[in-house]
Amino acid sequence: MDKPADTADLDIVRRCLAGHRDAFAELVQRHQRAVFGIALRMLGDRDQADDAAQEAFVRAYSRLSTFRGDSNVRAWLLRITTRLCIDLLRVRRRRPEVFLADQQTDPADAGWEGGVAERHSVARAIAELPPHYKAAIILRHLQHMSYSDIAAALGIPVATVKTHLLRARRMLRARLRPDAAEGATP
Amino acid sequence: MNVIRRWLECRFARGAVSAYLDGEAPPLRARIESHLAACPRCRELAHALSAQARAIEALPAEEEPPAGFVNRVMQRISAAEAARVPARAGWRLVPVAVAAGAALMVIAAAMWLVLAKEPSPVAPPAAGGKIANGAARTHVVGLPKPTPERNYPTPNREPAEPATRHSVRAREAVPVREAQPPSVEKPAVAQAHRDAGHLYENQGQLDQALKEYAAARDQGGSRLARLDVARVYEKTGHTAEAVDELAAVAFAELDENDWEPLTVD
Repeated sequence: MDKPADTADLDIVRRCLAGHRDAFAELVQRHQRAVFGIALRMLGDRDQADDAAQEAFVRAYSRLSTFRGDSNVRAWLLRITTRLCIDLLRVRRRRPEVFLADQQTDPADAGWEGGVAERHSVARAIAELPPHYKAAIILRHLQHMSYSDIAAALGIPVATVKTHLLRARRMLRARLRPDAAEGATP
Repeated sequence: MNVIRRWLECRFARGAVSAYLDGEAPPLRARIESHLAACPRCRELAHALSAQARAIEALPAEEEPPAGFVNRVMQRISAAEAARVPARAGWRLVPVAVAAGAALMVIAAAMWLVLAKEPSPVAPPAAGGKIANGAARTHVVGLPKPTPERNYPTPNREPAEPATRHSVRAREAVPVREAQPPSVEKPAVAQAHRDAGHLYENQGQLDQALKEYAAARDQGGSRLARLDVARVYEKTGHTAEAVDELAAVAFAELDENDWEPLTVD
């Protein structure tokens, strides 16, 4: 029977700390899709995401001794990746060129209400959010993190997470449904 | 319900509905649900936000990285480690070199003092006594001629004070440092590294600049060297490292006037 993911990850971390560097490759193998996925969603460019995801793993390796084990390894890796991507977005100050709504263009592949075109719009709208708002939306909806986990990942208070999500959703709504922009009055 | 109260309830619900839909507003749940039941506009907003959440969650959360990703990560880790090891080995030799240098200086100084007290049996007495003696000393010991322009500052001598317990303790705490001449080499080397770093930075060679600044910092360079390191880290996207450097500066009680602006072409 396979070990639970957290236990297996912790075993790998212990082996790495005991000097078995090659064990880290196993950790990369296990989480590369999640780390690359979040980098890709944050940065909007495959080459940049590839570089950022590699850098995130290198940072994780260099900080393994600081991993306290009070969160799971995956959350810790995603936290490093998200912060790295936010930093990159701030430094580069550029918009993503590709919005990664979908790699396939089959119109029959309708994932939700409107299919590919709508997914593309959603991805584009997310890509245009400010870095912290984007990170909050991605961690909430794609990584299914709680508000407190998002707060820990982004290094901000829970109340700020609430505000980020509220504002991000308003922005998304205004971009996706301009006609439905909220009025404050009923 | 009067109009103002309804308006306030809508304002409240529109602010809280986002967290409510995420299940993160348990204490407000009853109040929000009660409002949504009564207000079609806010209900419509809640439905729209739910649909938006479903739309976002339809996007792929994970993506397959380019082929060879794991190998590239491990190569990068190897490269980073390889870059660190020689540097560390080199720095490990620094204390040995410093100790050897200090020992040589002590031996040379001891010989110089001994010869200063005893005239050399082989040196013929010459006219001009002291000067001739000095010349002979220099010749015999092989030390460079002391240059009067390069005087080391002498430590300030405090006026005599009664030997209180406090003053005795203070003197005991730092007995050796007072006797040593201040080192001028390390700051000079650190400054040379900083200058080289500035040149590299101006040319856009940030990796080289970082190495020079780090060398300046590790040479005991000023806090400015740390700020140089932090600036290059920030430029290269290593914000966490930049913050670490700045924190170190902050702990060293940085005076804001020490900031040295650098114009990069």
